[in-house]
Amino acid sequence: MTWVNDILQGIFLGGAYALTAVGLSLMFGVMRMVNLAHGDLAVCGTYLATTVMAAFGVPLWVAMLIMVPLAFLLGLVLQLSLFGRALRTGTTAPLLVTFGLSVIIENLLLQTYSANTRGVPAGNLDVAAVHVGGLVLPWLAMLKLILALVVIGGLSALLRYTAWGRRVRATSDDQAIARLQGIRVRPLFASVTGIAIAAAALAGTLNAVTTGVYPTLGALTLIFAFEAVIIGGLGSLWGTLLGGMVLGITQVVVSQVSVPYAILASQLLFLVVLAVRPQGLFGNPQIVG
Amino acid sequence: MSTLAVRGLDAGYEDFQALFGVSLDLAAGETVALVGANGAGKTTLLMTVAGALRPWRGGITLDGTDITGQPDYQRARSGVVLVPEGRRLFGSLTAEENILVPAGRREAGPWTLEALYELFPMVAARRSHRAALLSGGEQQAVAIARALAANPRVLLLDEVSLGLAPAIVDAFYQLLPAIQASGVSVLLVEQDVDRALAASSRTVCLLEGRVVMTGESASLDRDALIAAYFGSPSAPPGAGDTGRVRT
Amino acid sequence: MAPVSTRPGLGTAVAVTRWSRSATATAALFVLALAVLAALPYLAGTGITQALVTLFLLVSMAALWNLLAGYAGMISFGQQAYLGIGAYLVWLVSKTGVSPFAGIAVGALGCAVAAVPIFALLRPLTGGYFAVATWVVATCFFLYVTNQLWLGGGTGVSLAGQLSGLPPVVRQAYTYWLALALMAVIVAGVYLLVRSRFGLDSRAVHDEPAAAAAMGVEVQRTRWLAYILAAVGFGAVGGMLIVSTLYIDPATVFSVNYSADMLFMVVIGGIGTMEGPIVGAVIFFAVQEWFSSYGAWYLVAIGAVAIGVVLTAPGGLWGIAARRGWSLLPVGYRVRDVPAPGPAGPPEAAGPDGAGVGGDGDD
Repeated sequence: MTWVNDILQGIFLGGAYALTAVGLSLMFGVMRMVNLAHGDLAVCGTYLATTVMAAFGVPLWVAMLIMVPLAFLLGLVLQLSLFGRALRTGTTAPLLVTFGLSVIIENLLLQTYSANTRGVPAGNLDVAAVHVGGLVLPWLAMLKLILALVVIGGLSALLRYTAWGRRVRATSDDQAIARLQGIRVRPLFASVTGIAIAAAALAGTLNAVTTGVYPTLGALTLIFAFEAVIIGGLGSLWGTLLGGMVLGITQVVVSQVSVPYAILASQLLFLVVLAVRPQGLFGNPQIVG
Repeated sequence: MSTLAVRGLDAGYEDFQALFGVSLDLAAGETVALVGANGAGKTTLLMTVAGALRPWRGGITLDGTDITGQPDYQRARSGVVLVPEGRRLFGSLTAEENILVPAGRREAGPWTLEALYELFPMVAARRSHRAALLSGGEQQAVAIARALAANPRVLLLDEVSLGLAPAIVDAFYQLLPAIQASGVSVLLVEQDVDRALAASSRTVCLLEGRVVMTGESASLDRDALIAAYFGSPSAPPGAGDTGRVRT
Repeated sequence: MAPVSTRPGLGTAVAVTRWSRSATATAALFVLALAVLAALPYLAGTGITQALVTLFLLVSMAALWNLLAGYAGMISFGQQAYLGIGAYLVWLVSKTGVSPFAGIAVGALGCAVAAVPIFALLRPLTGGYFAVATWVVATCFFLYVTNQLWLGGGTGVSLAGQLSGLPPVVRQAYTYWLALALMAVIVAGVYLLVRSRFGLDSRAVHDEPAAAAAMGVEVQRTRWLAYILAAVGFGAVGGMLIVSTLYIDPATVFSVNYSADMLFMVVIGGIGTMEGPIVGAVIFFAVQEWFSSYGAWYLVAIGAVAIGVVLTAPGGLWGIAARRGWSLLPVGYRVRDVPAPGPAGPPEAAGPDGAGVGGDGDD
């Protein structure tokens, strides 16, 4: 029965990866933009949440209610000030700018908070679990999976059924013509980035409950998010969920054999996917290369 | 007062100037045809009027209001809408979603979704299909419907007949009177000179970015037009490019 | 200096030159500087020579990263993989008794070998996907080495034992000279490469791959060459890293911070130019020397400057200088109007120096 439990834990881990990755996937899909600061912005949100908790003595969920809208605002500001300009400057500019932003954030956090791992107090949440038969269902892991489903499902619905979603998809298809139809692209993209960063901050904070947070955590966060998006296929939100699952299950299964190589295994899996099926599970072949 | 007035427009791309002092007028409910050889500047003119291109010099007014400085997204809301060359639908959206996209003026006029489906029954039949999967004629219908859905004052049609069977093109041109009747002025670019003359009340001919001839379509001298079209010696470039138009 | 060709009889004679007076002056200055720098171990203390080794390696990395990003159009955040491979190979070779100095060559060659399957994997990717994939590859090496006890695991490895035969002053002098030579070879090598057919090809591929391919440029071969040569260069630099510090650990040598440094140096200095990375490296080195004692703030500042440069002055510092006509290391072709001789020629061709065809690499 333990292998069933392993798969289950892998699915939960996948949900966490997917929640972390959905913002990155959204920005790829809509704006064709690789936000290399995505992981660091997730970490930023985490530090913000812990700071709010420490400053006001409020529990985690209250801190998150404050922090997530702030992260949305940060996304708006970043898009309007930096990312939009980078996109209009050229194809390499977004890479360079977001990488530079990543370095800035990491070092700002380093200076402000020190390099030590900081915990995210969450009562019993990180250890509480339901035991069913031989299966372990940790509350936090289930929460992350549910949130991943809610966020991805919600975003998909917004994109498919609302006027905003229609405008986002139209702009993604043909920005010049969208403008000629009266769509204001700058505020539209700002709202997309806002959502992306808010989701990242949410995911980052919940993940940090288990692992703690440190200033350079953003790099690994970005890499996993990126891989989930690629494996699932660019432009597909549900694909990102599956991509996360693939990564998570691989990692958990390999860790049963050898813990130190679990992470390496998922990296190698990603490289294999790149070699064999670069468009991922649900992506368009022409998007990559 | 003209609905649309273009005065002394210079426009181009980077180092290349495509329009030289172009002027024309469009009266309310009028259809004007823009003809000229490839590269004459017809699409550039439409793009500039639509706001996709910033003119280097000159002005554009809509019902007397200067819209030259308006960015493209604002111009659509002001009522100048382009049906681009090659349709350029939003491929991943359904036909209906394409029509619903235009922001702003949808409540303001007669072209509701129902009215558009009446005008284009073939679109109504395929409304839930993704635009990328529609046939050429259906795509053109969706593109025109999308533009009309914004209830424009001025409709710019760029090469509606491109790549379509003559029978289908005939059908489109038969719809023009209905469009005009709703108060829309139409500026259309058409390769087929005969069609252009038949569909419009006035015709403007461009050559190498200049207006070389204008006149009432019904009484236009065919030979003079053909000469202007190709820039033969009997109609040297520069003749008639003051853009004086009898309104 | 002499015109490469003239074409009279077409109304205007033109001269095509590839060199200039300022370039000659620069070349002379470089040779002089090299001589002075080479003499330094006899003149200055190890504090200075150690610091200069850092500078030389920074210049090398900047020049190489610019070869990839600025000329061949491949932005890589994973070159630190070759730093690590080169360094660890030097350590492994030294364990067999071979001098670590000689081991650097092995490190470089080893990287050439490793680069082949890696680039075969990464080749179809473009833009951000390529960049992050290179980062993942470097991370894989890090994860692997960290878990290999025979490679020192997370603690790292030391060269101290292998070089204990040499008196420290001598060892540091050798290290210094080798680093200086490596920098000279890399900069000269990149320069000659960019001036050659390869350089023109790769810039064409960078700007417009489809058009370049249509004109017969072997797009793939150009990319391969650039990537492998860069890997070799980085391998040698990695070997120098362990030789100069005597110790490496996977977390440091495989760190993406190196990529960040390269990006900053090249972007601020001037991406796509020869002079830019050198300027950027010098500035970066100076800032690091003076401000790192204040903590990580200098990196925040440099990052902000880099972003500002990308958004407002994409040519970097040297781009600004180049716009004023400065050119110390010309790579392009200058077309100048030459007054036509004889009665058949038309009146003197008016105008200043023509625009440099192919430019000096400022995109």
